[in-house]
Amino acid sequence: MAAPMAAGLGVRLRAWLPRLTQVRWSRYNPSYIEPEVNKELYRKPPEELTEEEKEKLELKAVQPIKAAPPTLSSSVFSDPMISKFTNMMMKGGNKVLARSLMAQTLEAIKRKQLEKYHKAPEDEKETIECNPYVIFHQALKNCQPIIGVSNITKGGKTYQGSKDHLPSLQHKPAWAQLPDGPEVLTKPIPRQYQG
Amino acid sequence: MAATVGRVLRLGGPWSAAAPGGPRAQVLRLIYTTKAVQRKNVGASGPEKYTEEFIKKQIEEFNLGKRHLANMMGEDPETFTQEDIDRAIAYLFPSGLFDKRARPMMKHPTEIFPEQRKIQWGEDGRPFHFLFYTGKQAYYSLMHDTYEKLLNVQKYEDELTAQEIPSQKEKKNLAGSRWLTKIELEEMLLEKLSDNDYSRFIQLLQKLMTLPCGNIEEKYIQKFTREVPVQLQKVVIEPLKYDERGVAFSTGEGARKTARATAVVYDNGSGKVTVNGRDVLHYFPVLQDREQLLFPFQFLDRVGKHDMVCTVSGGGRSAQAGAIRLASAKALRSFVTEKEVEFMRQAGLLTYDPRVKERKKPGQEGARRKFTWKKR
Repeated sequence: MAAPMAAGLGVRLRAWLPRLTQVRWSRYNPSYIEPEVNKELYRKPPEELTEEEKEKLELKAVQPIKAAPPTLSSSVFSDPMISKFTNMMMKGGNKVLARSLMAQTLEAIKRKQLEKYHKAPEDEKETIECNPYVIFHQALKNCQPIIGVSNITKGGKTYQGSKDHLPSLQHKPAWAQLPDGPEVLTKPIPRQYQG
Repeated sequence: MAATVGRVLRLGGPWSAAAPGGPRAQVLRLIYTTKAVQRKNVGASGPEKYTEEFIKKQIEEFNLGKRHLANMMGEDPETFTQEDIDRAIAYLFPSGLFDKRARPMMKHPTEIFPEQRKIQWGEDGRPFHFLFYTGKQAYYSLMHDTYEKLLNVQKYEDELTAQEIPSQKEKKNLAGSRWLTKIELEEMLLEKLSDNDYSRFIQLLQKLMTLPCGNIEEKYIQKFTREVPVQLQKVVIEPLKYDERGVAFSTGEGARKTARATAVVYDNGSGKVTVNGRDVLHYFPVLQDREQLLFPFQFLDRVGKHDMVCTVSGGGRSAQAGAIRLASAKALRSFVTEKEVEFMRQAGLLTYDPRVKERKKPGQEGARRKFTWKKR
């Protein structure tokens, strides 16, 4: 009852409290916040807004906002994950080439899926996913590691033991809960390497 | 009169007050100091560089000089404001110096001489304040006071719950205020603070404020808050103009890195965009640039409804696209309601992008890249 309001009020008047020394600096004043480009959030009528959202809006009205970068746009075709992937593909600053490669890849995915779609019988047509963005996101999720290594010091020596990469232990992906999930989860970890 | 003239001729800045206090004041004021005098004063550190009588005398001289100046300019001495003084000085002593602080100025002594701490111990050497030996007496006494207020509020709350009166939660509009910055707090306390001290103090204030009955201590808290201009829309939106055909249009200017652009957005259009006399497909062959040009229109759902004619120069391909995007967003403000202007601002369409190429530093190969490290 008092707690959520307290939290909201506490967040409102937070001054910029310097906790770390400045090594990376930016041309913007630290009080500037990131822009929100998603059109849907702005199309909501005022009645549908919750208390928190109204407070956030009021707070945002007072704060200065950074300029949207050239890679960000409100169109349906701009996706943050695809932009990040394109940037990682880029070599020597050649964004034109990276973007064209990305576009060709997505086109190739779409073509293959459409081929499958047209060849499939009527009842299976709904299961085939034709949207290349969805396929890309799913592919990235499938590639994410679930277990990594971390340093464990025991008896003076530093071993490398397993550590969960999952964002939270409660929200495991659906396929990991199946009995025939990846082997790694079912393999017993030797006692000496347990944390 | 000579005294007044001498006072007016004194350049701004604390160093020129090197002439030490009241007793040694001469009729002719020092306009410059020698190195010996400067060194002597720097060595004399301590809380009192200017005595109180000295400051009072300066204030009297300032007021007298103000009246003389008003008489000289032929204006009424009673209603001579600081702006009038600045104008008069700029007229009588024109200076071509670049730095405003180097030009002759005549301001109230409280603005020129920084506020100083009074001597904190008596004649027997015993300090007045009980927290003197902490080293930061003003800061710790402030923390003590604030904590006392916190305890008061908690006691009041307990009394209310004991009497079973429902506590009133009055919501204040806090979006328009901010806490004091560290520098402002240092000026208030006349003491140096560390970042840690400052953050502890702000956390304590926040705790005090978030208690349900924190409204009792509102006056105390208000001493440490400053108003923030409620709307960041200080910019005036120009009204629509109409050309000979009766079509509404609006102009906007934008810049990004070295590129400068002007855009004229016409109403009742079909989405045609002309840049420097050429079609947009010719000028921007890359999809990303055309996406940026369309961004403001797509955000407002006005994609095929406006025509645009732009001129752009300077910068590269992406910078020119960004400049035109800013110019068109500024022009679209006139066509659209205030709420949508605020949405555009929150989407980052109306902010000038300050990012420019970082300079190369000596001893490094580029702005950040260092030379290859060689062991030998």
